Amino acid sequence: MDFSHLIVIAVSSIFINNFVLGRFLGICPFIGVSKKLDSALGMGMAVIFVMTLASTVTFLIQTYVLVPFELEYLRTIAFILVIASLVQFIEMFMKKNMPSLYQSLGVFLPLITTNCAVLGVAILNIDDIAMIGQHFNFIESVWNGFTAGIGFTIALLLMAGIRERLELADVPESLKGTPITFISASLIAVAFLGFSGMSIM
Amino acid sequence: MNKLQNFTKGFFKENPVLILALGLCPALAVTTSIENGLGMGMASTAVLIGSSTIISMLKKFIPSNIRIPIFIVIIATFVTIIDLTLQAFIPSLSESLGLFIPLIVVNCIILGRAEAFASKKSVLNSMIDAAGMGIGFTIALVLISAVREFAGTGALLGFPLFQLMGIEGFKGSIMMILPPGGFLTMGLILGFMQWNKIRKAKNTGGK
Amino acid sequence: MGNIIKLSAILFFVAGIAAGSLAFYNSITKPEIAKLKAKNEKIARAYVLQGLFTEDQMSTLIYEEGEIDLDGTKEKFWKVKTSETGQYKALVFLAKGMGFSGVVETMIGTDLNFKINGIKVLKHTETPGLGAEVLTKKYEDIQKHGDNAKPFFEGWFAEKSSLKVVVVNDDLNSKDKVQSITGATITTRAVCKSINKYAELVQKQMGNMPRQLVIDQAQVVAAPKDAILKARAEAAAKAEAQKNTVVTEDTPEGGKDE
Repeated sequence: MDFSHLIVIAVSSIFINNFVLGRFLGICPFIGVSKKLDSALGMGMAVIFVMTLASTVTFLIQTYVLVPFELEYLRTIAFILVIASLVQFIEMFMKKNMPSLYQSLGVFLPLITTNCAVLGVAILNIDDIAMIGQHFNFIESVWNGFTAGIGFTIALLLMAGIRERLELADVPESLKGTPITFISASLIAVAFLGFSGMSIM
Repeated sequence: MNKLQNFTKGFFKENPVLILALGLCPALAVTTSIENGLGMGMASTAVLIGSSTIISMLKKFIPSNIRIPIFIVIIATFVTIIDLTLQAFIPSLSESLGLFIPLIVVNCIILGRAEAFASKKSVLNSMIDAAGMGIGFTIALVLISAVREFAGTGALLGFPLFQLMGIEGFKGSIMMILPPGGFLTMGLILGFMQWNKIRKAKNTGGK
Repeated sequence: MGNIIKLSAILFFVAGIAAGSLAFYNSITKPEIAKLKAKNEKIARAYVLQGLFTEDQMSTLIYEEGEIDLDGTKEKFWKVKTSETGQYKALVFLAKGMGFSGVVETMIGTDLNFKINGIKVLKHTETPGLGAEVLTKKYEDIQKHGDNAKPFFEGWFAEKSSLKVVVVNDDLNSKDKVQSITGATITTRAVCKSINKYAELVQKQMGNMPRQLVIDQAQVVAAPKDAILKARAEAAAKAEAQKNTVVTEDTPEGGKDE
């Protein structure tokens, strides 16, 4: 177990290849749920939770089911079904056993199934060898899922903070709403581009 | 609504990306060149037509409380078929789109059309609707990628326009091809649409 | 309860049909994908060896597959010989390195001294306009050579040593330096470093080859080349010496002639 790999993965998926600002994954919730800081935080937490679990489960399925039986071509269908049922299961479990948590996160859970960041992280865990120069092992996959979720949450919170202030700003009529959100996102992405020169290996 | 209207509504009036703001991830991620934008648009259109047709055919047999998982299975099947086809016959496109081919599964446009249209209307109408929406998606992707490719490299479809006209030394702004350019282009295009809408509303209001 | 069973049966049925049709489609496309891969590999090998052999030789080249061990994963390389002489003449190997946003895979054709004849970028996911310039052809070249134009990046590597090739910023004094693509030093450096790494592994592997091949190689590399060079040098020295003597001796008359 190489501990330095975990640090590389964390820095890489939070800053250098931020899921939203660098890889364009999960744009829909990024634009849709970033109006208020509270809901952005709720969504972010739900995504971290689901991404970590989804990374765990999909990695196990890939290693112990799809690869041994040479069924790699069923990967897309298997992963999306697993993620969809996982989200459903978490929702039911929360509703019954953790009603207070369900009240704050529950509304975001159904949205996560079609959040491409979750399926994206599951596929990247298997395919991506760019970060540490080799395929992830189990712990690195789970860690990548967790840190990618954190990266998503950071981007979402930054955006929400800006949008709360934007409400008070005098924006030209035709840029009000979604357009100015995209333009602000572009400026945040410029800032995140600065991380891409970092060499961490 | 007649069939022609049903077909063309996806082009501009209900354009999935520019008006309904669906399918934004691929619309920003793969639009670094017109070639990629067009490829992604066509791949998604194929999946959309296939899944809408099948779902519309099976709509009587799908129990409503498990319809979403069944839709997802059908969509994922078509996505895998497209993925394998591209790998076998157009490998260069398959490589440049990469991760975003399997991610067509979670493109909200496809599930959205299945839920809102194909599971209620006739097979023919669903097919027409899917084709229209797919073409609308492709139009949006090509539009975004044309802006980004031109501003980013000074070329369109790989042809260096300025050099062809004999103007030397034009250098594109590479930022337009990197992630910030995607957000910026999208913001400006949406801003233009909004400006157009406001202008039209004012004109009709004046009359 | 009955309802649950019915619903799961339907879901199971749908998933089964989906999996079945995919298995069928996969069985059709799998050989196609493999065929395409083999074909591309063949084209790429011929591409990087261009100019090293005559056209007749090209069509009858024999590629002998070898393996190098890269931290446990096996990678292929090829020893190339002409069918007429049966002597090894060239090497072809793959190199993979981490570029800016993913793996850059190149194929390299070298002579037995590891001097690069040609390279071809097979795969990359670099940023268009920056790293993706590795595959860009210059407009002038397209006008001049049409479809045969090569990406300018590939041209930089010709005649450089694959063991030592380096980006110019990293070592100004090296004679095996290549420029870096504007704004994409990381990509260029990745290509250079991966070529160095794989060339070294191939060289190591060549050392372990059966005696026969080493002798062949020694003959090809050391004997003819060195001998020719030596002979040439000697001849040149002789000629020079003769000339000098001739010139000194015949100065008065020589001057008249000219």
